[in-house]
Amino acid sequence: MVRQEEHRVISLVLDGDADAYAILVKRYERPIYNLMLRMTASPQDALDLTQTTFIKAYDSLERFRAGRSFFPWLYTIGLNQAKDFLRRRKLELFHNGYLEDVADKASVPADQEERLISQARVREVQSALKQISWDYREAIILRFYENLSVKDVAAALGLSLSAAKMRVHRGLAMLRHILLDNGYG
Amino acid sequence: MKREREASDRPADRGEDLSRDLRFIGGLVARIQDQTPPDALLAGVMAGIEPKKPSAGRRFWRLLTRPQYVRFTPMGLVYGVVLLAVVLAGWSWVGLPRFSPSQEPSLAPISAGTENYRFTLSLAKGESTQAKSVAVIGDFNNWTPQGYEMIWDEDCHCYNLSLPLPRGRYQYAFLVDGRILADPRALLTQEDGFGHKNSIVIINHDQSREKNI
Repeated sequence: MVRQEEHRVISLVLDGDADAYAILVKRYERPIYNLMLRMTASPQDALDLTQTTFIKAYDSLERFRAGRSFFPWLYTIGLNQAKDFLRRRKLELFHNGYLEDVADKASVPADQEERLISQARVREVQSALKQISWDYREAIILRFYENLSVKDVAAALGLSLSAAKMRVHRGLAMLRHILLDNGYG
Repeated sequence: MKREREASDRPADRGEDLSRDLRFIGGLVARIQDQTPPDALLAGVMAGIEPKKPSAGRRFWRLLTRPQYVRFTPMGLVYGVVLLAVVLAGWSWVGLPRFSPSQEPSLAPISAGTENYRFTLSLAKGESTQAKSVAVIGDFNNWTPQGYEMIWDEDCHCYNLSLPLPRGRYQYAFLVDGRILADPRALLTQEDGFGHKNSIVIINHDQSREKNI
């Protein structure tokens, strides 16, 4: 969603049009829900935490500064919600996360070996992501899966720009080591 | 640690190979699959929020920046125009400063180039001084007697009035109880076109002496 459209929707919400908020929910429910899945490994807890995140963001919308990107701000709220939840449940931050290996939905002809190899590598990366800590995992997912700029990754994780760059780089290096250890060179 | 030591021995840890690998892994991350959230998620969020009440500042800003539409009936428009016309008419009548010609005689201001000239109407010895009003009128006061009443001087048995007049030539006359009389002492007179003769006085400050011609 273009930033100008986001701000227009936010402006409508602040003017009293609550229904307009559904646009932002539909746009960002998937990444926030999957964040909660990775953090809790529980679909029910992920659902509750996602709803709580959006409601808390709605209540705090007056504090959202115009000119900023909405998703990193929303993501920060979600991450804090997840950490508070785990702290209350006295649970360890779930390092393995919830990254179910989902088969590629596109049909693949059996004779296209290169594509099969690529799909296998994606599954390996998905599996490797479970083995690194959540702070590196989220940095990598925000940067490469959600396609955020390093600046927005820093904003979402509450880091400086240089710290965010380092977090992403080290996270990739960890994944690389895991993949090499598993024989994927 | 062991893993780190083993990793550092790998040729693939060197420079360009490392960068290439990391970029490749980033590309793989972009292709991972995630989960579709349940349909109930949106309904749960919308059920948990209430419409916000805009702040006073926001309402004011909206009033200033959004187009406002005014509806009116033709009769309402006519009433408005008539009311505006009445207000403007009343404003012009009351509010604007009026210019009313002064009823007071406007004497020529005494400036550096004026000197007092004494008009004198002498009466013959024994002549009655029963006149109720004697005034001098002329070019210098728009032929208006108010404020130019002459004063009886018993010593000279005459009516006098001194006026500051700038240099120039003036026609004048005396107005005695409504009757216009030329100055009997004036040497130069001029017809006024109404059957009367006006007297002429020339004020010449260069010679520092008035001349009553």
